[in-house]
Amino acid sequence: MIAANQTPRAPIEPAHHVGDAELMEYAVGASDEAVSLAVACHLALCRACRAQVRRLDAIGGALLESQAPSELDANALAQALARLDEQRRPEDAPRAPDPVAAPTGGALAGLDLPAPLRRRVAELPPTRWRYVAPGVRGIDLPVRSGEATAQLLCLKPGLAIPRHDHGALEVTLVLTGALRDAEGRLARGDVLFREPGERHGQKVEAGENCISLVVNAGSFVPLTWTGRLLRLIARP
Amino acid sequence: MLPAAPSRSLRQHAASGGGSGPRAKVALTVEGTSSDGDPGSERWILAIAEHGDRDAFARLFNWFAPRVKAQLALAGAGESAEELVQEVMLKVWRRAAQFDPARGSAATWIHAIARNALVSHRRAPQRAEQPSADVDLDADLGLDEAGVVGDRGPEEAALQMEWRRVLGSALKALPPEQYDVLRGAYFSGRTLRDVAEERKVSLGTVKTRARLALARLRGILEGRWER
Repeated sequence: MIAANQTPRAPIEPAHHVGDAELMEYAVGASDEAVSLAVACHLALCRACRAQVRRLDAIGGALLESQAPSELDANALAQALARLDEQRRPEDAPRAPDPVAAPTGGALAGLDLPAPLRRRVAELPPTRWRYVAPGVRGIDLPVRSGEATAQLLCLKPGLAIPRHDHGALEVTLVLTGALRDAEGRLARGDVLFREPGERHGQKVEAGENCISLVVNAGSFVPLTWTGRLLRLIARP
Repeated sequence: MLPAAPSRSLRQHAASGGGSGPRAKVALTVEGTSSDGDPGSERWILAIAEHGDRDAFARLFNWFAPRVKAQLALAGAGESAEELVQEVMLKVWRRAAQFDPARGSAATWIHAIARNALVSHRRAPQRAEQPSADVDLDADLGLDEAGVVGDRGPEEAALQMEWRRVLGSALKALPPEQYDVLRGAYFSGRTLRDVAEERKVSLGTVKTRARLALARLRGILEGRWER
């Protein structure tokens, strides 16, 4: 049901982007791993933000060049030269890491996932959606560091998510279908950063399941809406 | 084919463009501007890629390794900085064939490799030493060394070249408090909240300064402001 008859999508550019501050934090390597994953997925789908990250990287390069040099250990270069022989010859190195194929089995078969997400999903055993709440199913994604967690959520068409608060940063990146939010319509590639204290409600558009990557930072996951639904509905 | 050496034109700009008017004072407060400069490190990387040129590697190392170490030290790498520099420069050797001068300068590429090394180090500092065989951990970071996915095409390449050409002098012409926030974020590799706490100003102030700095840099690039 979830991934039936995926047709190739025209490359429609997202309308909701990663903010300047969050993009800079990503580019300097300050974002949590799970937040980085959400940003990387947005970038895979958003040409404008990719261009901005390249500008940010270029700023990093210019700052590196203007940096006053530190003194290295006296034998640092000799040590590096000695270690070159252990390295693969540069011309034999692969030009780019092999792209990970789209999942062929399990719950996500046939889904057109952005590459950073495909790599995560590839680490999972054949996936199955687990029940989260009525109309809501989820898959937890592997995250090795930081406090933020990442999961895929599949929301039933027409589902209304009541107004709710966030105990910590929540990032939503839509992959299929669409959500209506106070911010407007969120469709594939659109990303929304919600800071703690921001209240909002959402409604899933009719017609198609809405699959999103949802990242929750901090340890207040039970205060997010999935947690509330769990508490209110799944464990009456 | 090599592009026109971007570092050379960048240096000319720093010498001629930033030298007059009230901003010259600002430029003088910028530390670490080298007079000898970087004589075409893109060429060295291509020489490594083409025939494993150890001499080119040594030159690249002498120019970049001390700067990478300075950045890593500022970012709190501490005693690991020296080993991380080795890791970064060896990765430059291994990955030289992946370097594409149309997508960014040598400095941008090496900055990205150093940033990724730092992120790896932070996320798993207890990790066993990386085997010398190339284990691609960067895929896990969600960060890419050449600026995520490459959009190619003449328009994109021209934009990148122009951006590189003006960036060095444009950075130095930023108001000091904006330049300071950029340096804080890039050299610490920390969130803007951390940068704000360090400087004892509000997060809103830091975000505003960062946004103004980026808008100004873009404005200069697109000819809306004079450099």
